[in-house]
Amino acid sequence: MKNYLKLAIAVASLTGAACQIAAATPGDTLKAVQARGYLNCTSSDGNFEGFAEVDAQGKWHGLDIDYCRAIATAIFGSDEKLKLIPVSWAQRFPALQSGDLDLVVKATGWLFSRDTELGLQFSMPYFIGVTTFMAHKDLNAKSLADLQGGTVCIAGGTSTEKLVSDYIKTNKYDVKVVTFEKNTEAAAAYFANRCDAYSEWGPIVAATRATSADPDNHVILSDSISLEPESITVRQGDDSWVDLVNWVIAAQRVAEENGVTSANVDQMKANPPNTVVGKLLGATPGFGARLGLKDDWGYNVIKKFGNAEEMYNRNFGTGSRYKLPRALNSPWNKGGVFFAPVLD
Amino acid sequence: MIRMIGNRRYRNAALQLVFVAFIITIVIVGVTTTRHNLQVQGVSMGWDFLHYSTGSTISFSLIDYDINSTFARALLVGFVNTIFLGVISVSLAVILGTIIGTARLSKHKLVNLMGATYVQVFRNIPLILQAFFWYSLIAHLPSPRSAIALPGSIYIANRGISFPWLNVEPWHVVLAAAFLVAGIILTVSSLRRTARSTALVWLAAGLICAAVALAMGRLDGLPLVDLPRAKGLRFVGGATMVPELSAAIVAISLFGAAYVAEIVRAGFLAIPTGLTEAAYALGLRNWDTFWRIRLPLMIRKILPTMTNQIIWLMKATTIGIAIGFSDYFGVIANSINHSGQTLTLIFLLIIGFWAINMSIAFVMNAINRSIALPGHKK
Repeated sequence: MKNYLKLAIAVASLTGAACQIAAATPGDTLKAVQARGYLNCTSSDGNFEGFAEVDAQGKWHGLDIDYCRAIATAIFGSDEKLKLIPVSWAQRFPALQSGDLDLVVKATGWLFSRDTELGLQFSMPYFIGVTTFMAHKDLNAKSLADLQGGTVCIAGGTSTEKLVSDYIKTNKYDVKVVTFEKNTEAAAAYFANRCDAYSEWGPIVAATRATSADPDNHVILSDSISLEPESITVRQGDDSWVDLVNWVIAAQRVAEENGVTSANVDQMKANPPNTVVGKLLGATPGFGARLGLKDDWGYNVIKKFGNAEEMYNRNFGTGSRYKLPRALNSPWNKGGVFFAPVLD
Repeated sequence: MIRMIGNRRYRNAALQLVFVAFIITIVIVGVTTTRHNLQVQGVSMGWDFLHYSTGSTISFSLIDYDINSTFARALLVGFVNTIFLGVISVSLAVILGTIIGTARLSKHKLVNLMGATYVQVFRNIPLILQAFFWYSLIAHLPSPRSAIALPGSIYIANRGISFPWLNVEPWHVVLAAAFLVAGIILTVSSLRRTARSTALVWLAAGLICAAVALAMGRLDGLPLVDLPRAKGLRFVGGATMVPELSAAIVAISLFGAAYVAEIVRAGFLAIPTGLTEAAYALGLRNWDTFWRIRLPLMIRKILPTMTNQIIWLMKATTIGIAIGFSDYFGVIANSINHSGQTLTLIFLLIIGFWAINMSIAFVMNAINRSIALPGHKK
């Protein structure tokens, strides 16, 4: 009889344990992160030029990584309290849904299907780009129309794949698409001459070309397909967590508008030129508490990562090996499309 | 009550009952917890997405597919691709493996050495590396504009191997092939019992049925044979075997052949030498001893192991995803990304491979039973 009792207890406790493997209820992501003591953010399963790259020391760099670090800094005051989890394109949403990630910063396009079906919520866009093509120069092609009968290598399961397939069908081009599991494999196949062209999102194509063995042998075609805004992705239902993410992005834009840089941030904090800067850097109280953070979070983020312009330049612009012009990613008053909400 | 527990039969039955109940409880709790959590997160889960269009392309498809096709259609394309790749690679692996396995037992030193070298090389390099190797080798072939032309309008280029094909409905081609294979099998099996001329009737019947099937499936207003010709950056007409498929077939069949060779060798070695000696003593020549005594016995010995190997190779077709071949696994992975329906699709992936491999096991076991020697049947 004793054995039965033991078995019954075991069954009951196992069942109980199974019931407890429930995902964090929405609304308390920040609390969960603070209690855990570090932030779970995305890195990549292969280099995604400019967004997430790993260097020879195994350290991650890139715009997406910088956003992970900036958000960790906003919460904890230090980007050490961050765990970068490498996930593939396919893994990112399940990992977010299951609670393994607190947010996805992985060049993720804001798509209707993702927004409505997957229980995801998107931040305001932090980067935009158009999808472009690169082709071997010896084909003398100016646009995709010159590649009749050709093939394009693309990373499968991405929004690029959908956009390019649609573009080819709409224009009735006789061009075949070959998909690969990873972007690096698609690019490698293109360079190995498996395809006549390679397509990705614009900045990636430019960066891939710039860092290839022979940039001059590859040309970027004139086609530019659908603009895609990239957003930070979080689980639906935690509005205050979305607010936090949005305001980290916004803080760097407010800083750029007001001329605050990582170099002059201390000086600006000591002598704020206006009330906005005073609030942003925590010289006057109120900016942190309403997001559940310390008042100096804006200062910490700008000090370490600079304003929006510095973020761009470090990863894509003059400070990077890609030297890509900022163009559409500039603020509205400098020829771009970005703006900050009002910090009052 | 105590007496019932004391009774071993009751106790065993009760324990089994508790165990089954325990498993069922875990499954039910798991499923309900998952459903609940997904609902809390606002993730819609179900089969509806199967009717949505994928909006993505599949580079190799045996059936009609375009970007407006549904997810269900895409999964079917992947499933057919996996079976296609599996049937070709497994058949090649078995044929090549049997030859190499036999070669390893040859009395000729050179043949023996070649067989051994083959097995050691191909068995000891991971399959995925071999796939990458063949794939990059194919990618370095000349471009279609300067393709290697072989007699019979066959062109080899880095976009694939283009060869003449029939302007016939695909299903009729499959049907014709089935008639041919059936004709050959019936001919061979009746050769032992009847005269050669009677056996050939089967072959003729197979050929006629195949020809009729092809004739009925002809596409209107087109010549019977479609030759590939260069147009733009690739070949149009005929049929083209894409590099991804070629590389996967070459990699899986060469890799699989190394394992099959070892199984075949073990099968031959397991035949008692007495039987071979008896055959020679009866005056059978080398070839007859091989064909009538050793080969049939070997096949009976290796069938269970071979079933394992074939199922294993079937599962190995999933390396296709690494080199861009759209097999069932690749299409599922892609669909997960596009639809986000991870659990549902993983479930379909498991069911799909389970169905394929269960069918293989079923057929192989049936063959095993039907050819078992008297006294060895269970």
